[in-house]
Amino acid sequence: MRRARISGLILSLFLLLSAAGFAQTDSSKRAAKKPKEPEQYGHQLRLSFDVSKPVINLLQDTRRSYEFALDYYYRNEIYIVLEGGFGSAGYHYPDLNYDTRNSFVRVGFDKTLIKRVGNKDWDMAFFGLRYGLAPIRRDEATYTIGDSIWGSSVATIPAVNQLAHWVELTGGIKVELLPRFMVGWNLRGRFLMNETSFRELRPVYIAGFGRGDKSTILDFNVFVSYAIRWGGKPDAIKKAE
Amino acid sequence: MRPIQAALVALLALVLVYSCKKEEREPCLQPRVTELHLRTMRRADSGIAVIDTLLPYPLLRPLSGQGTQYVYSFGRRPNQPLSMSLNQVADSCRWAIQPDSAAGTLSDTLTFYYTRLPRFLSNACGYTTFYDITDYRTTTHAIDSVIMQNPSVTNDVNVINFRIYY
Repeated sequence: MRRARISGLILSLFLLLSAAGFAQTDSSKRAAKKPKEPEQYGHQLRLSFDVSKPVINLLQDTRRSYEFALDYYYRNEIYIVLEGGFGSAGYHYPDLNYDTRNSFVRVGFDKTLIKRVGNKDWDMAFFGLRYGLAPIRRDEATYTIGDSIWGSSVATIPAVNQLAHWVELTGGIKVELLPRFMVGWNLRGRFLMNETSFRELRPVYIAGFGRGDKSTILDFNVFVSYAIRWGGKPDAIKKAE
Repeated sequence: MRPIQAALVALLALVLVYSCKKEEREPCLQPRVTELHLRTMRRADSGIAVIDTLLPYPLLRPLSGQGTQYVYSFGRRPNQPLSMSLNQVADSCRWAIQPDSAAGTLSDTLTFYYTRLPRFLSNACGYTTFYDITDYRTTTHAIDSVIMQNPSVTNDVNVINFRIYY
């Protein structure tokens, strides 16, 4: 009985000390509380086009791709991003011949690393995360097996529809060179999630992802963007200031 | 020029340089040739053991091949198996084998029956044909007997498919 009373007293003392310490910390926090940072106002919807891909298309005979992006400033330096595009590739050799084409979509977000200086500052250095999906169509493939003794054989593999999906990490910068016109670049690391689906006749190139024979890709974009902006500081706050 | 603009121009230049490198087909690093491998054996001078025998001047000749018949003469190393291709446009083929062309020994005819299995190797290598031997026949002018050791004929050069006993 006595032992129980002593334990209860010790426990009560402990709780009392903890509460006192918390109160002290809480009051210290209240005293040292930082002033609320001003909110960033304004809405922005940005349309982007990757200008590097048409350049690469001119220089590469075997593939084509085009990419677009749409991002919206959500809040707290977070942009919601929707990207898409399409492309095609060909594999043309005497013993193996086939074409593929696909469209793709990528969804995700960007988070700026540097806070906006003011409401008119839309320059950004950011990192982001994406999930990508690409339905792929591989046309009928033709192959030849040569033999100098018995003769060569030619056969076809039927066309097939496939699906690729991946996750990617991205980072880059975008700056406003002219009012509402922005230029920027991204570096991306992509990781294919369903590599085992492509055992035979892998797509040579998957628009939106990269080389079809790799499961990990490093890629980049150079975007030219146009921003549509609206909204601003609410009138009530302007009057209060 | 603002530093950021300079960085963008430099990046675009990098894109162009990188893009100038055309993507070429990767080299094929697997054997594409599919051949059937034979090892020739003879009984030892004493006892019941059988040992590899090096045929003196063997000739392998495809029968009913396309165009001109080809004659192969080998200077084989000891224990090196004989190799022959199978007809990928038919379900059977025949080969004549003469153990010693210098001595004019009699030839024997080997007939193979098989199932053809097209096999994708890789984009770099394309396709080849694997075979599954279902039956075989042989004449016995010089050959004593033939035993099938492995019916799968693939691009693996280490697999021995048949043993021919002289």
